[in-house]
Amino acid sequence: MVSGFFRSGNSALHRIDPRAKLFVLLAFLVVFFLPLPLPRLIACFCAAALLGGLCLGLRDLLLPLRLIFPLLLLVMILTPPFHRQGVVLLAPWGFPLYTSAGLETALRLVLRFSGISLVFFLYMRSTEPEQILLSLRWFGLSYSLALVLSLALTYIPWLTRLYGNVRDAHNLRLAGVEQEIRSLGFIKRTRAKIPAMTSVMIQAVKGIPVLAMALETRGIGRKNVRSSFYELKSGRAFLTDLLASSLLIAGLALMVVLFP
Amino acid sequence: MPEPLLSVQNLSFQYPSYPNLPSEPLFEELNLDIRHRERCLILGRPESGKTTLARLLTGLVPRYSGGACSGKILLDGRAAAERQPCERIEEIGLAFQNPEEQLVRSRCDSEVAFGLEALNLPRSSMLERVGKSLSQAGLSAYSRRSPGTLSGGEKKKLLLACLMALKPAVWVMDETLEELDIGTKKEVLELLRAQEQTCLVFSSKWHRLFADAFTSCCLLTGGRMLCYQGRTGGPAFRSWLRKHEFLTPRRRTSAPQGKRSRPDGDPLLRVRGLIFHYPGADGFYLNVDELCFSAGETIALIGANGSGKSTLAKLLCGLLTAGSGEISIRRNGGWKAANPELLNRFCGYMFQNPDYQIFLPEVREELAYGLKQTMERGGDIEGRVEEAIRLFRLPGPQAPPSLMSYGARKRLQAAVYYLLERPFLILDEGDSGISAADFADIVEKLSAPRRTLLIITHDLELAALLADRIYTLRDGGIVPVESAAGAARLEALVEGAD
Repeated sequence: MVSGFFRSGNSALHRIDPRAKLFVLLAFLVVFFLPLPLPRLIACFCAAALLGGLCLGLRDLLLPLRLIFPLLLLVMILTPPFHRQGVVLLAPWGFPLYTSAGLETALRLVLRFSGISLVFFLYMRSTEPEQILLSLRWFGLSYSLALVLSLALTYIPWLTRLYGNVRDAHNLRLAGVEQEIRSLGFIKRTRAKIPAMTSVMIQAVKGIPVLAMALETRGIGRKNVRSSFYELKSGRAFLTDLLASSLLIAGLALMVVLFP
Repeated sequence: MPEPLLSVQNLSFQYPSYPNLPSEPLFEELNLDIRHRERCLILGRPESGKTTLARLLTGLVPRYSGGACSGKILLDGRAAAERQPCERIEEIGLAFQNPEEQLVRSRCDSEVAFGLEALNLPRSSMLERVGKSLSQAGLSAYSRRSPGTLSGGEKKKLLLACLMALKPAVWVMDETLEELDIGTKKEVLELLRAQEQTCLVFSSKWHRLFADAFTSCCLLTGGRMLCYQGRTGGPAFRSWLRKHEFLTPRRRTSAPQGKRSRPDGDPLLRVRGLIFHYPGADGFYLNVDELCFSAGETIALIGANGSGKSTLAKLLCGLLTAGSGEISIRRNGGWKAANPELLNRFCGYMFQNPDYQIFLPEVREELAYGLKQTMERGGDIEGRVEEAIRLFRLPGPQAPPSLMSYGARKRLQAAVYYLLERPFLILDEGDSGISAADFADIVEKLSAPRRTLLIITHDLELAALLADRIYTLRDGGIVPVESAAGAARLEALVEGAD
């Protein structure tokens, strides 16, 4: 349960104050939720991708998109039939299944979902969980709640790794059957995953009291005030980062307003 | 006689019972006194209650587990139950058996500082303590690294650094020296020697390295604590351990040493020109020129932490694919190159953690599950399940596997593979958390004339005792070791590999 999304580095995104980054993150989230015309939404997504690509590299840019790819595919397939206005593009047996409006709505959803995932990923990839925790506390969140959020963030990749190990263990136990499972339909394949999912669930549930014990041995639960090993920037350094993030937000706002 | 720093008086404890899994008293009237600056080794067979006692001492049990507890635990004359564990972190600290369960931060320095933050220490003081502790533990270079990227031994040393920074009066270490290679064990023992704190180290195995490393030694057995008076490590000490059934060596075969190796056995699996490295992982690679396993033999694979033992095992059973080279299986008098799917069917791999495979509510269902998938119709599944329950001493057909003790879950895992009858079986640190005798028992039951066993272990005495042939991984390559070399020679060889 120790490693999360964060990877250490020295990029501009890594160096900027987490509170200032949080403002930029919020600005991007607002933009992605606004009912913008499609070209502006695409421009905003490209701006986020450019920022991520330049600071963290192409591999990190593709990672969150690869993770949510099956979901994006489902959105692209299932959304258009519910929006049948506009030019009909595909109409099997006379039924307008795919129209220009349907595709536009699907694309809009995909851009929103990808954009939100991407900016969250960039934030967490470039900010240590302890720094996130500290900046959330700076914004007034209680220590306990901030700790819960921080632990939840580190638990997701732990569960992914655990699932990988459990799946390998089950596959080896039922070797041969695994190949048959691959050729089954979606529902049967999902059912075949139940054993591994159950093992993961048992492990996760059994881990709860152990985690509570681990935290208690490190002093979580004490009534006294806590100090912090980490320090957030202050004074001029913080103001500089705030100014940089304000410029980014202003640029984003200009793009939203001025982009055709 | 000075007053003890830690005193356990008439401690009795029993975990709650579950349907089909009644519990029994774990401790009855247990007594123990630990004095200032004492370094005490507490030995105990697996399931003797070492982890429970460690957690009772730190107040985590029965707080998080439930159960009936009576008796007294006094720390510096004060009843431990008076305050919550988090309020006593300066008085008593615990290092978990599995460090991954206790490490929660994203950087090593922040991990060490986590407990100090709770004490509300000023940042300058924290920086000083963190730097000093990491340096003492030999982890200064890793201060900004994620604990998740450290090796098993380094994680254990990081937990020690956490204790060093926090400086509690009593350190409780639950199997901290297990699953470590000899070099790391020596380093950790040196670290303990250098401290002035009172230490309690729990261990399920006696290692020769322990001799003279501790000021006292106790044995937790049958719910009671027996203290040894005298120098540890000598013949009298070993016979004392044997008398209390802690050391119960079992030779795998009564055949003379020279006959244990079976070069005339039919070849079963062959590795040639295997080269593997993890993408993006600099420095680690595995290069096996030629390796052949014969049917019916038991091979031990030893080596330092991170030398690639588990990687080789995963390649052999098809969970990983090598960049180049070939793994072949003997079929109809010839060699057949095996793809990952074929290796999946041919090899069994007993993961170190038995819980990865447990998912059904009853032991009999868990055992029958694999058989139902692989056995032909009309096969006597019930009969085979009963046989496995009896052979592997499982608590009963209706016992809930996930609530059984660790040792029983390990035996269940072995029983699953016993029923699957794979020709090649890998036991990855299968001896961790269980006694050498229990592991030897499992190996004996899994042995069959046409089945090859590959045992991965850090226990050199066990390797010398159980294996027909022994290999060690060194600098990415695999090197055969003479089986008759004995534990001392093996130790020297593995040290050379470090």
